[in-house]
Amino acid sequence: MGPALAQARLHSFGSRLALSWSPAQRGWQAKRLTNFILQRLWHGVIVVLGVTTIVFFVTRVIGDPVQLMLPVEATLEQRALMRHQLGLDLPMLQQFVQFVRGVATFDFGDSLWQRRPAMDIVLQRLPMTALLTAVGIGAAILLSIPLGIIAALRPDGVVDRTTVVVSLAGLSIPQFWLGLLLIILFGVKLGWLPTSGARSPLHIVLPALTLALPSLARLIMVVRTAMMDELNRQYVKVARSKGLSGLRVVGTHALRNAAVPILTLSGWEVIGALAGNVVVVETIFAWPGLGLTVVQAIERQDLVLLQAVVFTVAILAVGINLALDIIHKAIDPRVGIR
Amino acid sequence: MTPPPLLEIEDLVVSFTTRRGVFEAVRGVSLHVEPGETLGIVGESGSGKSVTMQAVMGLIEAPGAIERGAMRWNGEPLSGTRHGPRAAVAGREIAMVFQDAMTSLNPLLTVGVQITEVLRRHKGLKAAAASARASELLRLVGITNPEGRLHYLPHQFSGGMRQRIMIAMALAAEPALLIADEPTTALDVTIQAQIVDLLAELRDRLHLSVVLVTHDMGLVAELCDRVAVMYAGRIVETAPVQELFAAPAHPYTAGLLRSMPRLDDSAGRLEAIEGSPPDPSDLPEGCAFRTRCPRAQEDCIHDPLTTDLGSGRGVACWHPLAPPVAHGQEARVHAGE
Ligand SMILES: Nc1ncnc2c1ncn2[C@@H]1O[C@H](COP(=O)(O)OP(=O)(O)OP(=O)(O)O)[C@@H](O)[C@H]1O
Ligand SMILES: [Mg+2]
Repeated sequence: MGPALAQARLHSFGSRLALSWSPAQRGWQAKRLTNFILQRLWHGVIVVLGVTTIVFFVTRVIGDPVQLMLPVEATLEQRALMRHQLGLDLPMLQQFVQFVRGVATFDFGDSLWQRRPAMDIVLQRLPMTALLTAVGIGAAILLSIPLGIIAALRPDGVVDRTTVVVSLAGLSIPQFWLGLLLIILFGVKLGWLPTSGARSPLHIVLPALTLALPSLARLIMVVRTAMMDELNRQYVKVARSKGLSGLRVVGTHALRNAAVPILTLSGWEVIGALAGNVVVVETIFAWPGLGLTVVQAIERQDLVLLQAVVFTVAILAVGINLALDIIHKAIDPRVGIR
Repeated sequence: MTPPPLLEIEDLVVSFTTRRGVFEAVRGVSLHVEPGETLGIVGESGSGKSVTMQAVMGLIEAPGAIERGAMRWNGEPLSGTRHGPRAAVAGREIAMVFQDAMTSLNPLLTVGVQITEVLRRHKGLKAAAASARASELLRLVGITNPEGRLHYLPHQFSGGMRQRIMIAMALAAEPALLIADEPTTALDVTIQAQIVDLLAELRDRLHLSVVLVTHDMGLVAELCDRVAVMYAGRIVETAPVQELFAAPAHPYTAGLLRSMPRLDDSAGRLEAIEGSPPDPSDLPEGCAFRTRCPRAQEDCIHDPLTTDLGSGRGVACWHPLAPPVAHGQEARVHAGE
């Protein structure tokens, strides 16, 4: 797909997003939207390049995979040979050039540990992590919105007080500790739920819960605050004076305005889960996803695999951010292009 | 029997709970609006004008509460709950235009959506018919190219245009009564005049009853049939406009009129009412105005009753200026200060 075609497609996508504008404005707005998206894409590319570069150098500083891969009694010659096979004896700059060339083609080379393409391992593990994140953070988002709204509608009411207390508690418990508590309660004491692996649908309950609770706590607080802010605004009073239903006033008028901070945090919760929290959760529950892969890659000093994972997560994070920016702009067309 | 007034408020009390305790912002207001009439409500800032109107619209929310009082629409009770009437009348039969046009529209919904939602709710119109009617309404309030403008967001309009849109929105349900709470204060002077003209024109064309809340006695003289003067949560005087301007009965009204700039006053002297409006959580006992009143006497420490002065006039004062005011009496007021 040539750049001109890509631009044209983006343009038509922009036009569809700009449907709420009048026909006269639409062409102009769509062009601005196209520029907006291209600009955000460009930022994304820079971020991904930056992150992978950092990972390349950091992984090369922290340790020597050859030491771990060979038995202790291996000779110096064997070590040198291994190093040569892995390309680790080349000058750093040359290694980096090779690395960048690989990144550009999504080819990081073979995993040092499993001896097969690192990207294959990543793509094989990614769906499990995506599933865990979708269920966990998805549930947190879906629950936080009604709870936060109810809390905001009746400040100091029962729901409000309960959610605030539970949220604060949820925020102060470390995630690994929460996971262990859940294992003890539901796995050991009650014996209701499996605590390790991913063999049945039930296996996802405890890891998803552990992943979800701190996010739920943060999200509820943000929904509550954002909705309280909006419900106090003059336009809400006006909307109520028009005799509209409570659902319309709260759900369409106020929630639409509160949606921007809620969406932003939701996106960050997904990114935060992918970029860190799943490592803890997958380790505790032996959930066979990317998080577990990272831990294994670090244990085995598998630089190649580690790079592939970090690169993938960076791409996902950038993609989610881009989507957020576009949704944000669709909700609030006043958002600046710069 | 005479038909009941369009809107009748009897002994309305609205309180607010704050950190410093409970205070009454509206302390027993009674008023009525007749069909086709324009009632002006005047009074200093904080006297409870907006709170009274919000109570009618059912907009009193925690920390506020309607403590007491009856509101009737065509003789039927309005108030269903402690927080005011249900939406049945408010929004459909009574519509309100607010002071601040800049913040009164939802910034993220097109003006078309904000007008058509009223038409859908109260007129049962569907998408196409609602849009057509919405652009008609925009044209009615003097917005050119209304079909195209339906797709605009509020920030794409000037303050004056937004107030026009607010008026169009208020008229969408074809209400019988329009409450305009300082509809022009936030606007430039030239725009103010345009909005006032528009309101007057629409009122005559659509046979609306209007309650106009304002600080502007000039506007009252121009637009209103009758005036209610509010002070510290009470109505201290009501009178037909001409009579009120000719001969105010309450010393506070007299003060208000004297503080109004007059074209025929060669000296160009403005007299502000001495002192400042009382703190609503710490009102003087008895008549709330007595601490600033040039005519105050010892018995003012008792709550004044509203006396009927005939021909629709009423005043809550122990020592009203006897209408019609002769020159000598006016001099007495001055001397008392
Ligand atoms: N939501 C609220 N919470 C607490 N106090 C309030 C609230 N709304 C109004 N008040 C208080 O009620 C009193 C009357 O307010 P109101 O807005 O009715 O005055 P007003 O006569 O409309 O004044 P203005 O001319 O400035 O609009 C004021 O003391 C005000 O501080
Ligand atoms: Mg007011």
